[in-house]
Amino acid sequence: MKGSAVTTAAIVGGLILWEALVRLLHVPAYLLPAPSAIALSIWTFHHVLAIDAWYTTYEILLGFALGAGIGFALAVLVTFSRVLDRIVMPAAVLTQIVPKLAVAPLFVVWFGTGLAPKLAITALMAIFPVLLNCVAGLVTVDRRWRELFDSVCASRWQLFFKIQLPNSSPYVFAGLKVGMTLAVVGAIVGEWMGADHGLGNEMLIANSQLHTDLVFASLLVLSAIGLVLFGIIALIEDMTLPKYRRVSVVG
Amino acid sequence: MTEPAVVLDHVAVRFQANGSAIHAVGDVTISVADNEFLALIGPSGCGKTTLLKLVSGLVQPSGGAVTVYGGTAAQARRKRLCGLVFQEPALLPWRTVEANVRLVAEIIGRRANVQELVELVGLSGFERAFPHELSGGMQQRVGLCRALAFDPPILLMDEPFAALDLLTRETLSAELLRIWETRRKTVLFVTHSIPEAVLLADRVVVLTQRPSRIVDVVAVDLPRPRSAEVEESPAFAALVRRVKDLLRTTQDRAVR
Ligand SMILES: Nc1ncnc2c1ncn2[C@@H]1O[C@H](COP(=O)(O)OP(=O)(O)OP(=O)(O)O)[C@@H](O)[C@H]1O
Ligand SMILES: [Mg+2]
Repeated sequence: MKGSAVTTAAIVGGLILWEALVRLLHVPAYLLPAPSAIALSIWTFHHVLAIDAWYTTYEILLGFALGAGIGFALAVLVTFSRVLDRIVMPAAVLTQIVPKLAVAPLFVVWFGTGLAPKLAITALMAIFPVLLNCVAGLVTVDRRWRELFDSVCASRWQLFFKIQLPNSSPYVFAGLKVGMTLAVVGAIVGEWMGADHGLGNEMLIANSQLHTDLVFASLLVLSAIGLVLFGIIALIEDMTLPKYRRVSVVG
Repeated sequence: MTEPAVVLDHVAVRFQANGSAIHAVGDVTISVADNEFLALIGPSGCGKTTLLKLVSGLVQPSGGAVTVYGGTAAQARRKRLCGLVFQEPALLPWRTVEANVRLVAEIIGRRANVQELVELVGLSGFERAFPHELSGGMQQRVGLCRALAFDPPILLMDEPFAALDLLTRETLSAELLRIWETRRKTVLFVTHSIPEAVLLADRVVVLTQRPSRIVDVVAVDLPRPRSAEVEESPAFAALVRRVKDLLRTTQDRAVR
């Protein structure tokens, strides 16, 4: 309680300082708008922002679901087959080395300017953390559990469903959380490559018109969306996973 | 005379560990009778765990033969003849006590009388508890129940009480004895505690350092059912001394 009070005070203090500096130093609004100006902008454009937010959320969720699904499916395949492990994991690492944002223009060439390229980039961003975490969760099987199962000739499927899958759930959630934050980035970058709607699109337009307050406003709405989506995953984790089984996410 | 439960016939085990070979089991020959309680004792790293794994078919002998109820260890594994109990019970943290007890029975599609077992080890009322809510001793009881639940004729127990405090250890060995008297099983019991071995076992096998051989097999002719009072008897003390002396000889050999 005390800690969160300090945090709140720091945020409020920071905002006041920001507002004061912008006013006292007469910082031009196109460089850095004051918090009050940003708030006003959200209010003025709330209608447009709401529609943009809807589109972007839609892209994030769809792309994330796609990426998380593929990531999890690949993880399962990898844990079942040594051959696939040797193919999928290096390939996954390779896609990590290639900067995904640099690939984005290619996606436009391949998938056009509709929803498809946005989903592709978003999904691509989400796949890797989900894949890595799921693999980690699925392969960490206590030696004694394996022995116990081997000692009664348990099948590969029994090991998977009774040990590997339930054991992986904290890791899966960790992967989903990171994947979700990256999906937000993916959707915005996708929109930057050309879009008619969405917060990323709004930011580009506002930026080109030196409407910096609207850029900030879009950014704020986007952050709120990211926070809520992350929160939903955390909430589901909270409800399904007992506390002693949490693994903490770093980064 | 009935067929022995387990026969190890000049068994040897060598492991390949990153290039170098580890000669774990030298030459072990022993026959374990049906329903016998056999304790294995020996210096750390001498291959006791490996011997249990030979019987359960998790490790293949490099030499000699393992026979379990007339068949190979692999056959015994397919017939699910061995129940394993580890030093740390290795329960599944996401399963309740009940569900943990049921685990192995569930795998092999056998019905388990979970309620009766839970009562047998004095865990009534904790069926719905999760492992992290239990003490070490209670967790170990669950581990024992899990092995008993599919009613295997052989129990392989690898230092099952080593991680527990003295009092819990004594209660649990008393319980194990009681359970063993009621539902007879062949038990191979690895321990580092000499009194525990003497209290529980029909015979105590003393092993040498790696590569292990049997120094001697001490027959424990104390009357059953045994209780903690047995430990006060001179016969018990003599047997403990006997095993201790045998163990010392394995130490001397190592020093030389
Ligand atoms: N899978 C394995 N691969 C390589 N070496 C192994 C393997 N399993 C056991 N060993 C080695 O074989 C020897 C005997 O091991 P084992 O676990 O059977 O000893 P132990 O008598 O049970 O020891 P402790 O009393 O410490 O439990 C050890 O030196 C160990 O390092
Ligand atoms: Mg051992």
